Amino acid sequence: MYKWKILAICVTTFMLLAPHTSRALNTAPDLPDNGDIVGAGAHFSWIIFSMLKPELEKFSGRKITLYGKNSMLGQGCNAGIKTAKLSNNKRDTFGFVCCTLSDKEIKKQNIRVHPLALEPVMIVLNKANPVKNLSSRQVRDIFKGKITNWKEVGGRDQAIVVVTRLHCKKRPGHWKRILPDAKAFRAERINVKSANEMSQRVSDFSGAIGHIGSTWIFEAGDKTKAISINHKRPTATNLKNKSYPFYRKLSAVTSQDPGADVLKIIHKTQTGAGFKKVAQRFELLPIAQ
Amino acid sequence: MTKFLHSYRGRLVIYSIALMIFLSGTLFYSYHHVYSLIKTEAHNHIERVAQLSHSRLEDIRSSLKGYVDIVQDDLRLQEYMYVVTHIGSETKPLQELYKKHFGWFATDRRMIISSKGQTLVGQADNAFLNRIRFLLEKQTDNTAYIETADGLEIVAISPIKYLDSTLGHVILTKLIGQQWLKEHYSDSGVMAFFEQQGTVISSGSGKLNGIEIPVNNDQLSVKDDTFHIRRLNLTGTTTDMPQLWFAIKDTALTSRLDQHRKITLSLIGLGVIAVTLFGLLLIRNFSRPLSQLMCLTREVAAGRLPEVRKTSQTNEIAALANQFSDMVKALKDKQQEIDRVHATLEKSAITDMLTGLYNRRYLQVVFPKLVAQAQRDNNRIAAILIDIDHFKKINDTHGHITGDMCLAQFSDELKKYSRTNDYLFRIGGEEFLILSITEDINGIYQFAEKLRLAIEQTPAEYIGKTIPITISCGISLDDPTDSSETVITHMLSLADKAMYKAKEQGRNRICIAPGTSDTKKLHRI
Repeated sequence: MYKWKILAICVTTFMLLAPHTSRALNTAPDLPDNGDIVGAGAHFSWIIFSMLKPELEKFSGRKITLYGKNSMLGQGCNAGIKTAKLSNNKRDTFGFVCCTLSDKEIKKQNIRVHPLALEPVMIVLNKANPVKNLSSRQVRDIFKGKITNWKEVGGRDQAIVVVTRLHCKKRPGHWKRILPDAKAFRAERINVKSANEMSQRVSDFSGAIGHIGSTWIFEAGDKTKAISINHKRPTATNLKNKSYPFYRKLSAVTSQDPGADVLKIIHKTQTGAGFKKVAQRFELLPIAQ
Repeated sequence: MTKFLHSYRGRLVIYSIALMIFLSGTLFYSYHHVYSLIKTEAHNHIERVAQLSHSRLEDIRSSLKGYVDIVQDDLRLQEYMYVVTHIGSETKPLQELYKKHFGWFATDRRMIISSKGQTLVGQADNAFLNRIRFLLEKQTDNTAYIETADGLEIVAISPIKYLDSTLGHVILTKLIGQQWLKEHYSDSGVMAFFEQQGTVISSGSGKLNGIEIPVNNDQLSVKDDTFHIRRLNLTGTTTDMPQLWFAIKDTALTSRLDQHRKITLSLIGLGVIAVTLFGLLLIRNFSRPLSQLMCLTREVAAGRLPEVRKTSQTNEIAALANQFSDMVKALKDKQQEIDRVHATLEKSAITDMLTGLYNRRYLQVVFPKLVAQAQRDNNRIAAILIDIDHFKKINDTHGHITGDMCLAQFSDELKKYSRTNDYLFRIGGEEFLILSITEDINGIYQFAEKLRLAIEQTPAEYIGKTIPITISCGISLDDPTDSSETVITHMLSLADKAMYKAKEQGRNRICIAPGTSDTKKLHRI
């Protein structure tokens, strides 16, 4: 009887708090209802659409509003999925995600995924760190905590500060190409909430190691550098020939029945000349092409 | 003395002394009132300063508490500290992060120490660290005062936690030391100092260093200065720690008050002297004419009427003096008139109006004087009694007016031939008397004879009428042995008998009273 009471209280509390918690963590931005095509989601995909925006607006004849800079307004992949689902007869929306979505999630969310490109996940060190190359095994051992000092990999006698951003934990790919499970990462590490924090932490600690997508635009004062893995730079070419091991898939997501203009601009993004330039700049490997 | 006190000068002195007493009393009262106010205000001021300082220190304490809370809640700092303490990374990122995020904190000492006691941010000596360790072991509150070499430090401590483990502590302090004492209280007239075990160990100005604090006393005397002192009871301090005190010196104010009192006293003295001198000058201005008036009044009261000159001044006293001068002049004129009337009356009382000769009344007045003079000169008084012959016939023939005129002309002739020491009297209708002091009866007789001849040869004239006049004379001498008042009666009686004898012998002749004619030389016996 006592247990039932506790359970009832917990359920009631959860029911009261759940909507707020969910909204706080995964809320899509308040979308304007002015006929614009609205896109929101992960920063790394946002960059692509953001750079192509003038071209896409000209192509579609519609104004496009995007949320996703630094993932602050777009709130990441979850917000992208939610925004995509907000599309209806009166409003054209789409989202962008930086992770591979599982078939189960796609089915559950009742959305369509439009792959855009593969993005190298760079292993970044502090510029003061003399190490320029690591093997994928060494990277994994460092993130596991098997290697804790840079002298073990040819660097200085200095503690390794592991910085992780283990987002989208239920989705396959991305950081899971380094280690498949969050529990596999070294316990004594910094786990940041955003790519910006990742960049800051690696800049601050000379012994830090982190991971970040190649579309991240580093600030002038950042003291980070991307190293080679297995003597391979994080480039589209090395992704294409599968010699660079760490990458993730950037995609756009829509509802099952998105507006024609949305499909047009996504298609234009996937296949347009503008996207090639963006991909070249950020070492993205376009998928549709 | 009484006279002086009732004079204007005396009153002025009394008034001046009263004024001085009043002003001095007022000054005395004001001085002590202000002195008391200064003392009270100094005491109140030091109380307010203590309260204000307590409030300031509490603000500092509160600020420090807020600062450590901010540091404590900073997730990035927690992370960085974790990296340093658990991964063994360098401390520089942590130090730079602290500087970047919390460098603006108004603190004197900022430290982050790990749970193992490693100093991650900031520096401190072992003594300080030991005190911090002691606080961490004992302290329940996260703020406290600790004693350092420079005074007291307000310390705020807060644990830094990450992933449910305490990584270390952030320690922020604000030094309440020499500089703080100087900055906060040197310009406000208040001195702040630290006392430990009854002795001043540090003060804002350094003047009080080494001075012993009296027990149970709120005043501290240093040389010539007196300080009002007040101890601040700081929460979290212990009795063995330096105690923060405040002192305010009222010597400056009281010395200024004393200086002011001296100046005021001098001004009062000068004022009283000035008032006295001015009063004396004023008194002199009207006292001198008043004194002159008083002298004049005394003169007038004594019957003298001195000459009073008028003054050209226009003040009230001068006007009074001028009026007094007019009054004296009027009195003088009146007195002269009285004298004239009196002389006239006196003359008429002793003079016969028709002939201008003395009358019988004056005979009674002058005879004693003649007797005294004769006695003094050892001479005799001779009396020549004259009667105009047949005068009744003249009256009857020519009338009384003519008779009177004959008497007048006869008197003129008598005056004409008389000598300076002769006294001429009309003692009856046509009877006349000449008294003279003599030493020779023959001289008297010759004088009488000369007079008889002159009268005989000089008839009276009136309205064209010539009326011959002759006289009969009887001469007598006084009795020098008779000192009674009847001597004149006796002498006149003798002269009268001699005169009637001359009448009987045919008139126009002179007879000497019996017992007188054989005396050649008359001397008083």
